Amino acid sequence: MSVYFKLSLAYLRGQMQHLGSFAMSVTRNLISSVGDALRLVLLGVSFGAMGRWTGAQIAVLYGIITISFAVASALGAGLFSFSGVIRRGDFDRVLLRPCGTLTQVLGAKFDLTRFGRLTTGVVGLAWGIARLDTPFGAAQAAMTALCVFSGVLLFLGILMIQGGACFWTIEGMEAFNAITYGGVAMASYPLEVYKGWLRDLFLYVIPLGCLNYLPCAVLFGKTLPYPLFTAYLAPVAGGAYLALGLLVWRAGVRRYRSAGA
Amino acid sequence: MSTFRALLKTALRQQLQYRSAMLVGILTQLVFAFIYIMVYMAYYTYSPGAAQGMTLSQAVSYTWINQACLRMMSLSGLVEIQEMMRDGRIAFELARPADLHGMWLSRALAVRLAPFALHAPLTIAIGLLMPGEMRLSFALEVLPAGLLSLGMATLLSAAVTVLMTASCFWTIDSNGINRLLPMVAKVCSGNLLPLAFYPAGVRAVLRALPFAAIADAPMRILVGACTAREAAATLAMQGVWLAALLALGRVVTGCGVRRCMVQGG
Amino acid sequence: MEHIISVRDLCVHFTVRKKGKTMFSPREKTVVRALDGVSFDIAPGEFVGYIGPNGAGKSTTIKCLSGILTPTGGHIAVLGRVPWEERVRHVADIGVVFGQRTQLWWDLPVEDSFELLRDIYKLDRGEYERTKARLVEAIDIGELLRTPVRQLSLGQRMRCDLVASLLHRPKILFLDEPTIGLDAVSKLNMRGFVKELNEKEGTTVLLTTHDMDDVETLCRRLLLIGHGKKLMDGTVDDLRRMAGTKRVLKATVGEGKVTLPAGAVLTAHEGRRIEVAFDPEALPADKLVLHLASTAGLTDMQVVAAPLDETVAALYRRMAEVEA
Repeated sequence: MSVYFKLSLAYLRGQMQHLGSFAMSVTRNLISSVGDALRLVLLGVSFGAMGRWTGAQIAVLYGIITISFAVASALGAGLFSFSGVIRRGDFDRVLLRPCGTLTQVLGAKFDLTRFGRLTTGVVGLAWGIARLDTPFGAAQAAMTALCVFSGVLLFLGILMIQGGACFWTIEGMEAFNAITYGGVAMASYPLEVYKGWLRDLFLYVIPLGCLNYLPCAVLFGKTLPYPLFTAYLAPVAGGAYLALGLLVWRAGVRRYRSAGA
Repeated sequence: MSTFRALLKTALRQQLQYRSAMLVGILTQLVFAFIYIMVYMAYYTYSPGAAQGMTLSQAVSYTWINQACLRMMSLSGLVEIQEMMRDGRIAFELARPADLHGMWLSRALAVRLAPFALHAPLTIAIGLLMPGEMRLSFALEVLPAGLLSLGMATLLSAAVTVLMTASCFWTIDSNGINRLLPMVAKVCSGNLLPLAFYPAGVRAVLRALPFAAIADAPMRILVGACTAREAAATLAMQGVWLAALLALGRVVTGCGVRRCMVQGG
Repeated sequence: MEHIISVRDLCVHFTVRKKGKTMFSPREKTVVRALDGVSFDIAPGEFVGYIGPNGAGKSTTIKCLSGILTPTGGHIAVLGRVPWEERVRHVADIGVVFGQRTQLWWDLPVEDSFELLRDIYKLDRGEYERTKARLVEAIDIGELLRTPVRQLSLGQRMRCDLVASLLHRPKILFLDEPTIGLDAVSKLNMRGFVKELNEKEGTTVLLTTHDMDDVETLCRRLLLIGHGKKLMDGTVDDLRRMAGTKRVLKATVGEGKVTLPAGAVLTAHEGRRIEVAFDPEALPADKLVLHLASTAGLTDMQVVAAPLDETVAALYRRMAEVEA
């Protein structure tokens, strides 16, 4: 763990050498995230509520999923760009050092520029909570925090699968981004409003719905179209995806070491 | 014309070189088209009557066209030329006995058209084949005006590309303009969201800006979200902006070249 | 421990998928035998050169020895361990330098990279400081320690990289083309230091290189591989003998046309100076000298070994022909 922190710190200190481009990246990330948020806000202003979900409630959904993704992508930035590590052959050096591969790959990049997205997520969540018409006390806050934490684990798991997949092929890895970014965009609304396989994908396969839609429905006193226990599955979903990510990563490392690059 | 053909061929070949990146690009466009469309469908289903200025079918078609043309309608400078400006190789480009502005304009047009030619057909075809409410649909009679508008939008996008490229003459590290302008353009053009969903006052201002002329204008005409009169006005507005930006591009490029010559590259 | 490295019947087979002609046609699979039954032993304190043409399997061997790659077959014991089974403990005992890739943090001062390595290798502070001080002094990088790595020249960077791979005092050092791209002075420094490390500290060194000067000045023992097989295990002289023991006769002769006996080749002729290449097994030196003395008037002469570079190039060419 201490190696992870030392490595992350080293990366950040390196980034500070190029303050100009760092500031530019932060700004870009913030603007692009503000753009995504703006889409929601404008639609909300234009249409008002979405069925039984008020604008404030949708803001909470957006906040939870956005914060989770922002934190996970800051922590797991080394996995986002992992295809480059494989292409340059830098993974050999990782294997030559006496500590875990994941520690090194995650520590190699702690991407503070992703905090632009964190900002809009926090603003959305705070605004939504302030405007809720249902009570929001310590219990609800704890539940929300647990959902965010589980979300970080789930997205980290997805990133490990994305990074681990690079051990098999580095072509077309950006397709994962369509799923993660698309999933975040979609799960910013209550999944029940969608029809068809895309909704089922994010409920059952990549269970983003467990992170915000299902628990929030219960928090906001709505009747769930699913069994009640599904509202408390966030930690299970997060843990399961993290475990799956670790498995894929380990299988990938094993493959790399038996097939070479 | 033959120069343009050669440039277009090069641009196409460059696109085709990264085949997997291209397929991923198309896939991403499709996924986001689905997501946006489903969000619109949800809003129109659960808050019917709240929307102004655009029907669901129009919003859906707008999304399909937008995702298909995204690469053509987003802004960026000519990266190769800008690199040449930074490392001084631009001197060779200036030494050529050709009209620089015209040259860059053709190049920008080729760079914009190549991804469009490769991405759009599949996305459009899938949109046309979708069942029910998700289908891309448009009336045949808007096609002439719509395509004319789309053509002008492409030229406008190329004209802005030239301006962004030429901005490099002044600030060698013109990161600000080249990185932030595209994001501003995204919000103001309709690429983020159909301008019909913006508050009326904001919408009126944005529709008068050149950003809207690049994206919102052709899409609004194609999906039939405006009257014939409005369409004519939109086309006229595009024409004015096109003339203005082309003229500005010519002047700015000329000034830049003179400046470059004086400084000795 | 008799052998520090022991390799038995090492095999590494890769399955390579060739891209089909179109995007949709099935891909062909072919098995490439990168290593095909290589065996050798290395004793502690040896300095071994590992040579062979590009694609012979040098890097693959190094990867197996350093625990990066699990071989298809065969057995390796390094310091009594199977490298790929105990990666973390194994790599703590070895040092690896890649000539073309740095292991230092690009944007940080050299010293900060060293500090990070101290954390990664979990080195004791006092011992780390002593080792670092000694290495910095010996490799003379004292004034580079505060410089960001990206600002170093290639030669400076290689010196720092070498220190970085030695901070944890590895018992074995793998050098993969450490002198590639270096200027003459940097090359000499690098060689001098590595030689000293081997002689004074007793560090076992395995060097892969294409630079025959590296081999000649450093390696008491050579392993030659080609097409995944060990072709020779011996000294530089053994290599020369294997390649055809070419000699070059440099001579000053009288005016007039020079004629040569069969088996001798005139490689240079400037005024009265000539150079003649010959193979003493086919054409004994006395015959050549007698011939020249009687026909051209030999005034001065010197017989030298052909440069190792050319010898090895000839050998690699022959290996390629045999393969074809």
